[in-house]
Amino acid sequence: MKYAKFMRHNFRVEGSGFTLRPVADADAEFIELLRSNPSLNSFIHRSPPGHSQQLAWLTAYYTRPDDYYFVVEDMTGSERHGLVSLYNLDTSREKAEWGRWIIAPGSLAAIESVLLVFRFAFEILSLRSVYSRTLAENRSVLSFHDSVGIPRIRDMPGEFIFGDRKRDAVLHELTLGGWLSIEHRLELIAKKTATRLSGA
Amino acid sequence: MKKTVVELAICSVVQNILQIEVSLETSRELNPEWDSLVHVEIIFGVEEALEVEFPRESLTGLGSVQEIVDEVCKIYAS
Repeated sequence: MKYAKFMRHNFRVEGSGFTLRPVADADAEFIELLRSNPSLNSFIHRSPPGHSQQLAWLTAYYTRPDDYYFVVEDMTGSERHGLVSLYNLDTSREKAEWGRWIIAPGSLAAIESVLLVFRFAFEILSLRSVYSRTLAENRSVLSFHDSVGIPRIRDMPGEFIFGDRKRDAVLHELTLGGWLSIEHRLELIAKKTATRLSGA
Repeated sequence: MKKTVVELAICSVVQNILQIEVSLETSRELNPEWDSLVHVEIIFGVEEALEVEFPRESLTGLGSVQEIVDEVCKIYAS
């Protein structure tokens, strides 16, 4: 399907061990829990505090046509493992940003969640490129992008404002051609992980 | 298998994947290049090289070369 702007999307992207499904109001508490976890939130913008504020944020999100927010969950839908988004969709340039990526401690969903969000961008929305802006001090995620094979484009001095402080970011961008060259490796790892999780 | 052989084999796997000098003290905490993707490759690489299978709960928890060595020795001893 060629990209289109949807409000409150209804896309599901299924993988080998994990699935992306649309975020819903019932996930507000889960979002708050993950985003307020001190071991996970050092490098992300603070979430609105409190359940009602989280619901208000989601209500505003549902009206945005260029924003696709997903819950990462297991194949049965019984356990939520994390969150990931594709947003800032630019239809004229056929590109979007991915982020709001946060995976529960101890989960093995990280790699497949990235595989699935790229698959959504390139194969479902038919985009030409996907980029991310990562805080420069978030060295583990920067390394992850590098390990996956996503080209590092440039440093972005003072790109984010956290509180009253400017913080530097690093831009990574994956084109459709780049995606085709990394997809197979990510899929192999995701399948192997899924096999282990299923106990087969 | 002797523990020193296990240590050498695991260091070799981790070194090949991380592409840095590795010792028993090498850990995720101190080496950002040991990211989520690399971690899974290390775990699956060690499993293949030493013909072991880590328990599911260990897959994400093994945070250093020493911890991987200890876990493999535990599996061999059981």
